[in-house]
Amino acid sequence: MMMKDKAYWILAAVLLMLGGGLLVFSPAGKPDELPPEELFRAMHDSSRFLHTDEVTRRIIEEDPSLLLIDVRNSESFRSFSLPGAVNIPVTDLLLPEWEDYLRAPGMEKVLYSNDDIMAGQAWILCTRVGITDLYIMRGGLNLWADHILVPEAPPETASMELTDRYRFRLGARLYFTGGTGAEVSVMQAEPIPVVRREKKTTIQGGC
Amino acid sequence: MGPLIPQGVIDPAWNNVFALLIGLAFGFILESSGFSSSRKLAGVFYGYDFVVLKVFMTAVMVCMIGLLYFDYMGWMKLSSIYILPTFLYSVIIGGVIMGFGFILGGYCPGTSFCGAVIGKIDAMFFTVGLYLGILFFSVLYPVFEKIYHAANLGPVQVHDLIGIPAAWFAFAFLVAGLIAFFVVSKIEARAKKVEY
Repeated sequence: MMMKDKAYWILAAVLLMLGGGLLVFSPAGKPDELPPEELFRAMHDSSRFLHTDEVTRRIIEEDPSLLLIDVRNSESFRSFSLPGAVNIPVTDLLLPEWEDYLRAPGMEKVLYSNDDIMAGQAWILCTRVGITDLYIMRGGLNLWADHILVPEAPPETASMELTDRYRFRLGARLYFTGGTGAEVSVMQAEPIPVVRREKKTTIQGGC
Repeated sequence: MGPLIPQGVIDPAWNNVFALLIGLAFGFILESSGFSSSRKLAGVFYGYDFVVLKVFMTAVMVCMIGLLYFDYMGWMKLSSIYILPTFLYSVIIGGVIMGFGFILGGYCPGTSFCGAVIGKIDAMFFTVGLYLGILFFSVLYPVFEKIYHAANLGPVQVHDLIGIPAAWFAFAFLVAGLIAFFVVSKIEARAKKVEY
């Protein structure tokens, strides 16, 4: 008879413990995934884009809530990237090792690539798995370089706002390129003749 | 990581080898659980032997918990497992036919082969009937086709259908199974012993 069967009670207890463990470990049972309708709505919200000037200002101000994420491959990242950026290639984005960065509370994650495309893909991937506070730097590094590294001077009749923006960009360029502060002329100065000092080949002293 | 073959961890050429090994193990366990005896199997319908319910429910519970833990540990994603679509009418009609066949013949398809290979004559007749049934269905397939494909619910799962997390459903199923084991042990104890 099963009632007196010790094995039944032991195995039943083991099964119940395992079943109870499931309730403790995975309360939701499924990872949070944004329903298609909400993802679609989020994709039509242009507030996910940040202007290159805004990103630049926050880099210069060392905004502690800013987390720059470069989604290009590591080779491109090594050749050039923004200061303080983390490199998470778009192909590795959903690996568990990056979870802490992407889900860091209180941080505004700004994704960028060379243009909008790869960063846009990364944004969709992350938004779909429920990551929030995600932004894209509009135009990517290409536009950033156009705006900050080679800013275009506004015409003399330009509004105050445009002139201020140009000044800001000039200042930012100094910050990123480490220039001297002098206005960089487009005209190249006369090449300075390089005077090489002759090496001393004679061995002096000795033991 | 898993499932191993679809994920390319193991070469698909091994498919048949694994099928053979798992088949041998399945047959061996069926036989050693007493599933090669039609009287033992039919006992579930007459209330003197519930081995069918106990073995299959245990298999389902172990497999269910195992898969859920594998999914939790990230060893095998449940979403990558193929779930057969549910054709509601086929399932109901097929279930009724299978149930009657089980009571009348004392075997289900798998166990009939189990019985046949150890020399049970009733099991051999059952397998012949099984093939006749397959032939009958195949020949008359155009007649059945419409109802066969009717009411396709897709790959539904019960917990999705009633809208609760898989873990809760699994736990409820476990409790129900354990209660069922307890109840049938009471029924078995009252039933007249059958010698086979």
